[in-house]
Amino acid sequence: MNRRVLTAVATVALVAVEVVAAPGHVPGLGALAGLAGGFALVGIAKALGKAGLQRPEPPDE
Amino acid sequence: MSELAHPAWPLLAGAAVAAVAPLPVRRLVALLAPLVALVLAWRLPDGAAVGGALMGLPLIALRADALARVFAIVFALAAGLGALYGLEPARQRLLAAGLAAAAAAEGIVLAGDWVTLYLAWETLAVASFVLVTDGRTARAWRSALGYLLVHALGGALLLAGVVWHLASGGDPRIGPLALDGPGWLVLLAFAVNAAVPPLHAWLTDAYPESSPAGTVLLSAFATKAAVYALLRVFAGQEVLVWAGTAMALYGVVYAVLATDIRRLLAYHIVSQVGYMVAGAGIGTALAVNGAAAHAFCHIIYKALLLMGAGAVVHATGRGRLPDLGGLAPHMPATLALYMVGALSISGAPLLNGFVSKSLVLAAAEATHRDTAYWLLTLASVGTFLSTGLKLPWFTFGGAPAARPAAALPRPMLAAMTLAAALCLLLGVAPGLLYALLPFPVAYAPYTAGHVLESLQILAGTTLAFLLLKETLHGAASRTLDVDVLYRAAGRLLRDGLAPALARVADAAEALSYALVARQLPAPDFRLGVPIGYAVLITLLTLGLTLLAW
Repeated sequence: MNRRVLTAVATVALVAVEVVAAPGHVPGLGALAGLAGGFALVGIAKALGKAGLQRPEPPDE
Repeated sequence: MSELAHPAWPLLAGAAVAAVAPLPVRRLVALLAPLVALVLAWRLPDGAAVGGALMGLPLIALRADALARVFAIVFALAAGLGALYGLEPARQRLLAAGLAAAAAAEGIVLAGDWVTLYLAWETLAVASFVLVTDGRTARAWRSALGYLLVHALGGALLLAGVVWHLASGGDPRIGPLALDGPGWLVLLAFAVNAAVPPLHAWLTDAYPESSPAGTVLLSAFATKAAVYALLRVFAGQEVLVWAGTAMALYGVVYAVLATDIRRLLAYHIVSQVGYMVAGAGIGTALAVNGAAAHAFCHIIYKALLLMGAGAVVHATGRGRLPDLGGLAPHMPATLALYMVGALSISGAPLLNGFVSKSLVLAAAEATHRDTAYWLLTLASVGTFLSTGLKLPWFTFGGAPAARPAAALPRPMLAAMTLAAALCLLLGVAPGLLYALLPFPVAYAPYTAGHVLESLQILAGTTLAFLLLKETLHGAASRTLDVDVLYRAAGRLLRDGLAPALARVADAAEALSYALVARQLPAPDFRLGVPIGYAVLITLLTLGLTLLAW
């Protein structure tokens, strides 16, 4: 199976287990933090890179 | 042996022997010295004190309590792991400087007075400088001299703060300081060593340039000694909560951009030390426990991660992600052991990062610092993204780009296995770690909610990575950091002070060649100029301090 689909299914399963095993927790908050956080960090880093922070590596000496 | 023997003594003796002894003796001493230091650190009783006096000031070379002991134990452990990793080829410079750095770090955490702390602080800077030069390239030399320059400034700030504090009738014994004039100088000095941005570039510039074993040893001491000092002197200062949170995020953002595997991991040192600095800033018993526990665990899993990256560099001669790939079939043990470290730093259940990082996060939550809590959680996402997914994916996975040319020496694999076993042991049995902490621990890390939330963060981050991974694999690049600003300022200053600098540099050059260059391979540029800067900065700061006095 496609890795992305497998990971998505595993994430949803973890949220489902949380609903049963950890009442009082906001279900899926961790998964959302991981997914949204990953996108946000990559977005910020790439924007900084494009803004000129990323330069070609100097050659080996 | 007296139970009050200082753990630094066997390490210093080991450093002296390692500098001159033949290979078999060197290897034996490199393993024995940290082992003896570990036993001594473990047996230090609370309240133990050994000292004398100098010019009316008390010198307390050894003052033990639970906070000092937990750091003393892990520094001895780190010295042993690093020495074992570097046992083949067991270069004199590496082992002597590594053991000396460990001794200095022990000296810092067990110092009972400001003068002893300062002396150990400067010794650590010099030993670490020599460790960076173990990279044995022109770039390593340049980075080492940059390291020396920044730490000369940090040491001068510490000296100025200490002299000011003592001159205004302050307690010569180390204790909490208020954030007044001397307090700010001491805090700035600690911030330099803790690599708090914008004072962090020495770390990400120098650590990746040392040898693989040199980087492992470097990663253990300077920043964690500074964390100890912050916990001892500035616990509860709110400014540290935000400095630490900013560090945690700064490091992960830069790690996303990094393409050199050891520089990527160096940015994660900045990030992880951010959790400890934030813990020091929160200052409650839970937070201090969390910062100390996280320093302990971080030293072990970061050593493991850098050992894994170093093994790749050793085997392939390459360290940039675009030049790597497809190593999993050739280096399965390295991949498996590296992943233990990667999952530990990412806070995966059953590993040590899970039981230490969560103490800091729980302390932030308990003190209603919701913003800091969520930003530190976001940093956790970035940690797994870079160390647990990006680095192993593009190094060990994908199309083959590099084949290992050299087999890994057995000591390297043994050190990695030992570090991985410690990560697992402390993760499965957190009580072993919690028993060492300064305050009693009533925290239970293994609740269903916490475990599931952590697993979800890892799963959600994996999904984000799988959707974005093509954008993360680019050409080899170097990211501009804040050091470009103070390099530019340094150039302006240099041009303004050129005549004075030239005279200081010439004198320092003559001295440095006489003292240092005879022992080490000569670099391909003038050694004395950066040392001249270091001398000038120290003299200027001393002059200002005397004026203030």
